[in-house]
Amino acid sequence: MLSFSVLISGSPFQSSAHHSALRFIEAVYKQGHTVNCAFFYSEAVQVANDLICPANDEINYHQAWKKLSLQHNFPLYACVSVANKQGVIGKEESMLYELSYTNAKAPFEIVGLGAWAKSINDSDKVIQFQ
Amino acid sequence: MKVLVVISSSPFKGDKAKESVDLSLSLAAFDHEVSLLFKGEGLLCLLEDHQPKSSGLKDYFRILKALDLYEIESVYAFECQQYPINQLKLSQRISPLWCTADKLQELLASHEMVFHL
Repeated sequence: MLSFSVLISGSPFQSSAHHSALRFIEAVYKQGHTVNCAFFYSEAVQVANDLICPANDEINYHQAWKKLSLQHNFPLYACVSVANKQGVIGKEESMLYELSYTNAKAPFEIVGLGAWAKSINDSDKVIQFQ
Repeated sequence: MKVLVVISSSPFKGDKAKESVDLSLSLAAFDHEVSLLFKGEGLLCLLEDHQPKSSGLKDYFRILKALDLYEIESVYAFECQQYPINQLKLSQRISPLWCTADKLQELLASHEMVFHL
């Protein structure tokens, strides 16, 4: 059994990164392996925004990640500096910036890059979806 | 882990070059052995005389001066005809090792992980 760290850096709207990564992680669990974390960086952090509302007949990647993460119990991390810059705000930063709302909630967690640096140490395999 | 971070985006077009540098510094701070490879428009990061402040941009590439503080010692630049940047004046901040197409595969293979935003 192998453990994977998955880095997603492509936009949920302008790349196939999320589609591919979700399918990859499904296959990982199907084959009896595990995922240490999915880490969203660069344009990928936008997927942590829970206000994403695509048309009914399109895939909602925010919901898709949420579902897969809860099903298999692996964490969803988004890089705090990039997320905040792109308007993706968790509870802590919302208080810090004195905003009246948040749009990034569990199971998404807004964390520092250190979480990724640690995760790759603890994993057998590392893969990036651009 | 021996990690290579590839920077192929212009420092003046979006955030990818900055994000790549942030990623590298963070990995290095967590004791990974990080190398950088600049290629394509990313090579622009290496030019001297950037004056980002003159057009209201942040000079985040000052951080490149600090690479050795983070023990990032291996910096590579990929030579290509499309960006004949080795003929221009490079920053004193970093002196990259120039890498040709035939050496690229070797460079990639010598790292356990490669990240490219």
